[in-house]
Amino acid sequence: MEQTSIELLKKLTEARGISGHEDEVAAILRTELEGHVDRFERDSIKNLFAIKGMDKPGPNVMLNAHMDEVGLYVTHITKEGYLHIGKAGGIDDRLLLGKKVLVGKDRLPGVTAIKAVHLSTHEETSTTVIKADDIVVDVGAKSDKELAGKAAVGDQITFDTAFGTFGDGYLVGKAFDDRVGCAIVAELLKTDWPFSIIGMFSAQEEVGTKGAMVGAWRYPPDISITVEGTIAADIGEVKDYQEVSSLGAGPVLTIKDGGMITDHRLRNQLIEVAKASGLPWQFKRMPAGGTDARSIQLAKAGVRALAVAVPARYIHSPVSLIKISDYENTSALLSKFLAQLATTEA
Amino acid sequence: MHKLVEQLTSAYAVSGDERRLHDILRSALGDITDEIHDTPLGNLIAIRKGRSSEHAILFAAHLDEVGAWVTRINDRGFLGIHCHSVDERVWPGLQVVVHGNDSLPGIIGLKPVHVMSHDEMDKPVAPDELWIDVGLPREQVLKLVPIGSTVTFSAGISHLMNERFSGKTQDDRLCGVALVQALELLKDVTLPYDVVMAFTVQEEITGNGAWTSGYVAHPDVGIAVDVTHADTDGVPEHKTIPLGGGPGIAVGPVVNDHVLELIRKSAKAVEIPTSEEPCMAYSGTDADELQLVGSGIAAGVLSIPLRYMHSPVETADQVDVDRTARLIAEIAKGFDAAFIGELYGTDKH
Amino acid sequence: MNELIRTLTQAWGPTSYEDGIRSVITRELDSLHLDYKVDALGNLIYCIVAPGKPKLLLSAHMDQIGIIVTHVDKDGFLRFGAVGGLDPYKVLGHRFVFANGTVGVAAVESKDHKTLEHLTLDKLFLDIGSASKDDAVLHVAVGDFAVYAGDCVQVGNRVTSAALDDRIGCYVLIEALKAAAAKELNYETYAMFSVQEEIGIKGAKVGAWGVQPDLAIALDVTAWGDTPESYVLDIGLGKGPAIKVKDAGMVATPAVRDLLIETAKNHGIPFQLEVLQGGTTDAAAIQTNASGVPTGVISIPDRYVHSASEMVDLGDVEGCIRLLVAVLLK
Repeated sequence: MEQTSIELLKKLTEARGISGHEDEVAAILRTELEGHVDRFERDSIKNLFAIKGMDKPGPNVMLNAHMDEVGLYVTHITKEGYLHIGKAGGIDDRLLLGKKVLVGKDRLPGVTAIKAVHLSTHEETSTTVIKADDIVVDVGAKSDKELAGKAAVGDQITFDTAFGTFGDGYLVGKAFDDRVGCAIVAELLKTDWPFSIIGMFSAQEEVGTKGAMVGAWRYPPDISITVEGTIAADIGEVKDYQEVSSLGAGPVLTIKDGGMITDHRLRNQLIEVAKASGLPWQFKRMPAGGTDARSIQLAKAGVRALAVAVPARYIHSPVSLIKISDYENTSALLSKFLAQLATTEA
Repeated sequence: MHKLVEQLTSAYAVSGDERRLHDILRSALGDITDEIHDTPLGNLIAIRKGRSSEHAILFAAHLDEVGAWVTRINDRGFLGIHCHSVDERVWPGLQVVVHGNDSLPGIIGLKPVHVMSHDEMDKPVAPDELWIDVGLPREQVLKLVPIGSTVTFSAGISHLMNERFSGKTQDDRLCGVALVQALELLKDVTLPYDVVMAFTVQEEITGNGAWTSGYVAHPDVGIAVDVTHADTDGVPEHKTIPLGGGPGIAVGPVVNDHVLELIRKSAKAVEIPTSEEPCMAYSGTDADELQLVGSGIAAGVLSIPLRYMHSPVETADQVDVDRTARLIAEIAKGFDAAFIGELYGTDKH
Repeated sequence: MNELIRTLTQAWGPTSYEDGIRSVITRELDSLHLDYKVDALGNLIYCIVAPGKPKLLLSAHMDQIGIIVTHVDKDGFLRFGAVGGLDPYKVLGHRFVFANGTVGVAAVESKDHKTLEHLTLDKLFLDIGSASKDDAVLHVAVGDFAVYAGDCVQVGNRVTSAALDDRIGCYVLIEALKAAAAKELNYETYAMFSVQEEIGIKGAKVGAWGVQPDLAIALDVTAWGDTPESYVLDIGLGKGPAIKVKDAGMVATPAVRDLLIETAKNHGIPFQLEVLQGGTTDAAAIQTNASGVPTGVISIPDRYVHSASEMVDLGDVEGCIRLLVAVLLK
């Protein structure tokens, strides 16, 4: 994988941005794309649009990835200076104990508390799931007064996970869902295509694909490709028919997920491109989950929509994993697909 | 913060692997001790000699950390574990290190919701359903990770507000640092009798380090320096002591009366706040073994208050570490002929 | 046996693969020489222009529920997920058919009886008679769709088949168009045979945007309440078309509901009133288009909805057609 891609992915995954707080990620993308697109726009829900070639003939193509990550936020500050938390997006409560986090705009280091094991009974530890409502973040404060100006109700809390290499050709980090999509879309936007491209880096996907809904209304495309980081459950003792997708098997093409069915003809064209280029690909093997594509598809008079993803283990958790080859192949496949779009009628 | 905190807490040694820490310690102890020995089980004994070696006071801090052992490798090359003394609910979503032939980073993840049965999410993941992903094919894993390899939390200290900090293995390496800091404070002080710093093994599982250190050093007094529970949100006050409120002092049958007196006197002398904590037959520290070695050692317990014990985010206050080091140094100075006289009921020694 | 009803129910067309059923419909309506278009998602929309008159959008959905293959195991058994609302108990033991004609039987993991007490789709598998994976992949692939297999059969004055939801609605719309298209209509009429209703009334939403109607009526099936110990619902077969009052997705606009009731009364068409607690139709998606569309539904009572053998009453079907035609004509 190109060093520049790795660097961009590192910047993007280490940036912080839960739903509603996508500014840092948007800023990185703007800097990255300065000079490569005709204009940038932001709307009221804080989607970032990076638009080029609107004067060109041919289809309007939307490339979409979401900027927000799943995380936590401050719901209450106790007199003793502890922070109560809420979930920003879908995350299994069982992932939240004893983790390192960063709080608020100043990136205040904190930890999610976990009672010393000696103070719990075996019954408790083996049968009780502690819900997010009952978990606090400790930033070392002695009282709420100390936190004035440093942390406030509504502040984002993100997992403190560093990006890096892992195992045999993997990358470890947080928020591959969907910074990996942002990175791939950003790189595709650096090329000049013979048709118009609406790069939509959407906001608030994790809390209901809201950004995509209004973003696609603003610029309804003819064709849309959503680039995601999707579930790979080729882990532990999960049965093979429940894996959804596998790391190393290439870009994941959605036929049906929990939210929509993709355009069959476009998807088949994508597969033809993969075959012709000798690129691997796999289907999403469970009709579960949802992406911005489901909202884009239903904008105005309807959009022919695709969802293509880099498989990722442990999404929606403090630390997840992708395989470098999958990133490269997903990027290559989309690039070749767009090239082929330029020469044929979709 | 003493640089040894980062060095010691980021090193990896589950019970049984403690020798891995010896080099770091020897290097830190070099010019502040007179002798350093290690013992067959891996204890490190450092002696600061006094005017007379007829008596000795021993302070013990244990080297081992909590963790897990690899019990099986599945078809995917994932590792199944057996863990000890850890709230198993902490593992999901954690980065760990697997200590096989090499140290390998690993991740313990959760199945996604779509793959779970409807009531699975309402229960903690059972320990035998926790799997470590090291991102390697099975054939490689078999070569690199023998069954029985240890697994630890990943290193890394988060610096919080008010000189508090969070990370793995503050239990009990922070106390090891306190012992070293105490020796640094005593560097140019002439001591009446020998001061023995025992960095013990296997406290978390058997206490065998304390047994054997006590035997080797045969001190008159043995004080375990360990951690205790600091105030925690949601835990009743009476079960903890305040973080930043100074070391804990155990009170109860494990603690010898004279030793307790010496500790209290020393704390007053250096104006350190302390919290007294009751215990009955057992304190849960090396003192429990030390008390019963040979014909008996007069034991005591000092504790650094710690939140979230046995987790990757154990949280301590720097001020408590400093106070504990100063208290240890003061106690060492007070271990003199007069004290020996009190301890054995005569002042002719 | 009504051949058109049979042809419509037997056309292979799970949600998103509506090409086949679309062709059946366009062929059937060819002789009417009506203008039509197919939009981005595949909705088939006929237009009978009548400048100056309010735009009426009629909608019946072409798609049927089905399954999608997610895995072919080493022994040639298939795992699958749902396309649309599938009750695992209604799937167990039934045959499914793929586009290429391959047939499979849905069976259950049978290690213990507890599986049957809390049956979920992931405990089922499809047996297409292959002895191995190598053989199975000659006939099917991961990602393939299949629908309930089984003929359409007349029983008394009733018809039983899979896919009456909503091919019977398509039939009503087709027959109404045949009866009324050449005449003077009360509305500029758009007859939409919609797609992807079963996974979230999606075709109707975008179709409505494309048309921007002033009024809308959907034609879909509704449930039943007249079998032994059935769910409490005051709908029965043979009592005429059901005029929707409310379902889980919408309250029928009272003006449209009343229009249907008045029309039924004026033409001596027996009818029933429907309050459905679970389920909705294209109407819910159309009603919220733009600034809102007054919308109602003519429902065909349908026993055993979303099973391999749904059942409707031909008298009710006839009543629905008459009611719709009466609404369209002066």
